[in-house]
Parts: sequence; C-alpha cells; structure tokens
Amino acid sequence: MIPLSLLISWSHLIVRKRQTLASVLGVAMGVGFFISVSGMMKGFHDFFRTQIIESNAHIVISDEVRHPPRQPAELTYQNAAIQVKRAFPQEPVRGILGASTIIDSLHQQGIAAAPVLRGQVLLRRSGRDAAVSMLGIDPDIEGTVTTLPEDLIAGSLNALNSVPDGIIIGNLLAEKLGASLGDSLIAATPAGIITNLKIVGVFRTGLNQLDEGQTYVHLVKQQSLQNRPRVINEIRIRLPDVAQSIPVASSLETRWGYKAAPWEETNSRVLAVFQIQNLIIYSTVSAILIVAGFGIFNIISTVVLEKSRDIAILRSIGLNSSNISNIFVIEGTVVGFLGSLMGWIIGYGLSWGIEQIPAPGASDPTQTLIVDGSLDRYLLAGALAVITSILAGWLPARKAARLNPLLIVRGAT
Amino acid sequence: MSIVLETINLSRILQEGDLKVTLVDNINLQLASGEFTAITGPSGSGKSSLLYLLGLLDSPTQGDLLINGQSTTQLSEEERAWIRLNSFGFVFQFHFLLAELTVLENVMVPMRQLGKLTRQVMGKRALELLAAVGIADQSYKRPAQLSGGQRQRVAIARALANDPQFIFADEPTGALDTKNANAVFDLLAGLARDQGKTVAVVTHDENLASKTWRRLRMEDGRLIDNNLNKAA
Ligand SMILES: Nc1ncnc2c1ncn2[C@@H]1O[C@H](COP(=O)(O)OP(=O)(O)O)[C@@H](O)[C@H]1O
Ligand SMILES: [Mg+2]
Repeated sequence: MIPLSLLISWSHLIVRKRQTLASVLGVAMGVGFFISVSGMMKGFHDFFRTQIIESNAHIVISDEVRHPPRQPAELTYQNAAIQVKRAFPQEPVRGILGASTIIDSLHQQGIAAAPVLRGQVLLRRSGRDAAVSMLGIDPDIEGTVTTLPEDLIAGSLNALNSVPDGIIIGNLLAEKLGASLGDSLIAATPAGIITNLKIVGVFRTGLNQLDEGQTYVHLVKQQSLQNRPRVINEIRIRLPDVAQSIPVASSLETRWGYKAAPWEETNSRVLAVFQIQNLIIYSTVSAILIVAGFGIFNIISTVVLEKSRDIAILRSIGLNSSNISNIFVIEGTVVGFLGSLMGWIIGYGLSWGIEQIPAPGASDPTQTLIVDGSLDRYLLAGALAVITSILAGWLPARKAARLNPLLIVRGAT
Repeated sequence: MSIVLETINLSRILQEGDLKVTLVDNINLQLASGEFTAITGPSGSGKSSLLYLLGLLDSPTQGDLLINGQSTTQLSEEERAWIRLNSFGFVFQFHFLLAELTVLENVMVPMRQLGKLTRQVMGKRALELLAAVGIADQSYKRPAQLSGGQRQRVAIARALANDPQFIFADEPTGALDTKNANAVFDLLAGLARDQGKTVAVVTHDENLASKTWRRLRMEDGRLIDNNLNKAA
C-alpha cells in the first residue's frame, strides 16, 4: 500500500499539474543540457587528445637537463656565496651521448623508439618564406613512433631514402609557400648551409602546430644540413600503453639523466585549456540545474504555506515532525526523478542532434561533432538533479516540520 | 467507572518577554471512561488551551497530566504523537479535511499512518464509520462537494478511524446550524454512551452543554465549577 506521506505528496503534485510539469521540465532541461553539452566537450577533448597522442611521440627524450650542471667554482667551494666574474661557463657539446645505447635498451624492453635530430630551417619558395622546425628522422622506423606514414596525403615516407634531397612538409605549410609535391624549396639552416630540397611528401595531422610548423628530412641529411654529424638530440618513444607515459618518462629520466618529457608535459598548455573549458562548461550546466532547484524550492515553499492547515491537522492526528517533512522532501525527490528521466531523453535527443552537425574547420566534410555519451554522464547528471531537488524540497520541508499546529487550530477556533 | 485521565495542578503560562499570560491556571480534573463532558465558559477563558493540554497538543508549564495512570510530562514529541495517533481523536470547529483526497481517503488517513490494517480492511472500516455518521453515500466525493454539516461528520468519522479511547472536540458545532449542531452533538454522546469512549467537548453553547452528563465551567483559566449538570 502507498505510504501516507507519498499519497499526500502525490496529491499535492497532481493538483498543481502545471506548476509540477514546469518544475519537472526545468530539471529535465538542466539534465538534458548537462548531458549533451558536457558530452560534446568531452567528445571534442577526446578527439583532440587522440590526435595529439597519435601524431606525437608518447615520450620525447631530449638533450636537455632540468637543472644546469654546476660550474667548477661552485663545486670547489660548496655552500659558499660565490660571484665569479668573467668566467666562461662550461658549455657541454649538445646532443644525446650514447643515444644508440638508449634506443637499443628501449627496443629490448619492447618499447618503440626512434632517433631524431631537431633543428631550425628557413624555407623559401618564390619570395615566400617560413621559419620552421626540421626533424631528421630514420624513415624505416619513424612509423613505429608516430603516425607520420598514415598522415601522408601525398608522396611517401620511403622517398626520403631514395631522394637524398627529399623533404616532407605539412599541408598548411605547403599552402603557405604555394608549393606542392615535387616542387623545390630553398632551405637555409643556422649552420649557414643553403641548399635545394624537393618535396617528396605532404602530411596532414589536423594539429595546426604540426601541419604548419614541422618538416621532415632524412636523419643523415639533417646532420649535414645542421653541420652536426652523428648527433642526435631527441629520441621519440611510443609505448604499448599510453597511460604509462608519466611513470615511464620519469624512470627514463632517472636512468639516463636526460630530460624525458611525456606527451602530457609537451602539451601541457593544451591540457590546461581543456581543464579551463571543463570548468566553464560544468559550472554553466550545473548552474542550470541549480536554477531548476530554485524553481522547485519556490513551488514547494508555496505548497507548505498553502497547506499549513493540513499540516496542523496531520500533526494533531499523530504525524510527527519528520513524517511531515517527509511529505515535502518526497515532493522534491519525485520532481527530481521525473525530471532526470525526462532529461535523459532530452539529453539523448540533443546529443543525437549535435552529432548531425558538421564539425567546423574539419577538412573531412563528413566529419561531424562528436558527443561522448557514456553512461557515467547520464548517471552524474541524474544524481546532481536528484540531490538538488531533494535539497530544494528539504529546505521548505524543515519549515513545515517546525510549524506549530496550535497556531493554526487555535487561529481557526 | 474508572479514571482514565487526570490533571494535577496543571498550568500553562505563556511568556513572551515581560508579557506573561496565564492560559490555564492550576487545574485539577479527572475524567472517567465513557464520560461525556462539556467544557464551558466565556470566550477567552482558556477552554481551548485546556483541551490542547489534555490532548497532548501542547505541554504544561507546571503540573502533570496522567493518561491511564501514566505521567506524560517526560514524553518526547514522537511518543506524544504516537499516543495521539493511537488513543486520541480530534474534532475542531473547522473540519480541516484534505481537499485533494476523497472523503473515504480522508477517513483512512489516521489508519494509514498507524499502518496496522490492510488496504481492504481500512476501506471497509472507513465506509462503516461514514455509514455510522450517516454519510456513506458521500464517500467518493471531495470535501468541497459536501455541506458544512456533512464535512463535520467526516471529521468525526476521521477522529474515530483508529478507534481511539478519547475524543477531544473544540467547538465542533460552532460553524453549524442548530439542526446540524444537535445531530453532531448526539453523535458524540452516542460514542460515550454506546462505545465507552471518553469524550470532552469545548462549547460556549449552554443549551448543548446542558445535554452532557457533566459540565465544567472555566473563567480566567481556572476551573470554577467541576460538575454543573449533576448539581443542577
Ligand atoms: N499564543 C497566544 N498568545 C497570546 N495570548 C494567547 C495565545 N493563545 C491564547 N491566548 C489567550 O489566552 C486566553 C485563552 O485562550 P483560549 O484557550 O483560546 O480561550 P477559549 O477557547 O476559552 O476562548 C485568551 O485570552 C487568548 O487570547
Ligand atoms: Mg476556544
């Protein structure tokens, strides 16, 4: 049998059909927007994150150290306050010493790793020029650490082996220089070497930073262009499990002494932007739920006021104060549950709608916006809505429970 | 007849800052089982205040109230609510029916709260009670569709829902015409006479009060006459 408090709650809600429906709709809207908007954000972030992880190495060991080595004078006089004037600081030869040992060791652990010499280059074609980063790579194993082979939209990676002067550039850079596959570019490096390079491949990752600012040549070619024979200044690593990037990176750094940056560190700015976006999105969609909560609070407060006679008689019949407050807490809860259920449907519908919208700026015209529709999102939105509604019912319910029935029965007699 | 309710030096003083109002002043009173008692007196003499104390709706500031020999001053709010639910039935000047529920559901409210009977038995009992007050044919209407006299009968049926030992009525006929007032009063008398319930009715209608077996008279919060009808 239906408990008394539920029966009375229900009768209050049924009599106020319009107000009840309005507050249920308020919650439903909040839940629906929460699900679809935060899902869209998550879908976008996941997509972007995958792009970053796919197109970049998981860990990059570079020829930097996090703390510069101490100067001889400092080593000699430990703990002393030293001011050395006109001393030439010790400047070690740049590059990763024993890079091939590190790579061999990684390969033995089943971790893909490839050597890189990174340097700057100025590319010029018919009066347009661009200063970009140029990576000397080993074309045979580059595919094991990044998706460069798959990202190529023209030419091939293997061409770097057969064409010694070959260069692979991004599609945005190609546009900027007005060049395409097979064209020649003039390249000038900081080492003072000027030469002609021929475009043997064009790639597109979807990340502007790479598509506009990164180029590839053969490792040996790069070593001669930069005048740094046999030098390697980066080792790019791809892990079987990307989730391990941070612990593996820190153990590599401890073991070899060179800075090993996981992709999270390399892309920390992007990830920070994601976090800020999450903060904005979640506070906005939660605010909608809170507004819906105010609506419920308002309605239940009105009911409590209107029903003070009923409360008084129920108290005299023998309901205690918690029986009374239950009535109104239940009203909030019912609205919260109905709103959540309806909100799930709205959220599902909105998510579907958003997924029909073409992604702005995508080169693939069939690419639409992605909405993450995981169950967690629905449960979280529902839980937030129900908690807000219960709270919105509980505040006036507490007031109802404190109402002195004598003031009513006495006032009427 | 045994004493089922007894007050010992019962007082209720209302204090708000410097203002001190004595609603009930040192009352000693005994009610026996099956007794039909009227509480009379001028308006503002403290009749309602005394009834609320007897009905555990209010707490005395001094003295004690014994129900079936048990002191009630130390009871918690929950325990007092439990006694009201099990053993007391209230009727007020206004019916205080729940507008959203049918007449039948209104009568079932105390039974549902007690939760001892099944849904079927409750419905059956509620119909019987409505028949006993003469409005079984109104069972499925809403209170708004009933006349004032009919509503007050529903309120009496509701007060009887859990077969209480005591009925407390505060001006139950105050809003009714003479014919209906007499009918309601006869109903209450029948409860005491036929079912042995202890019935206490506050009224300022001396005519009706003279029909009870015992008449108390209050003035300024004090009981000035304990058994007017017998003496008369
Ligand atoms: N909450 C209150 N504050 C101040 N005075 C009150 C309050 N309740 C009752 N009184 C006063 O106490 C006296 C007794 O009231 P009541 O018991 O209702 O009398 P009766 O029912 O005999 O008319 C009245 O003078 C009334 O005005
Ligand atoms: Mg009164």
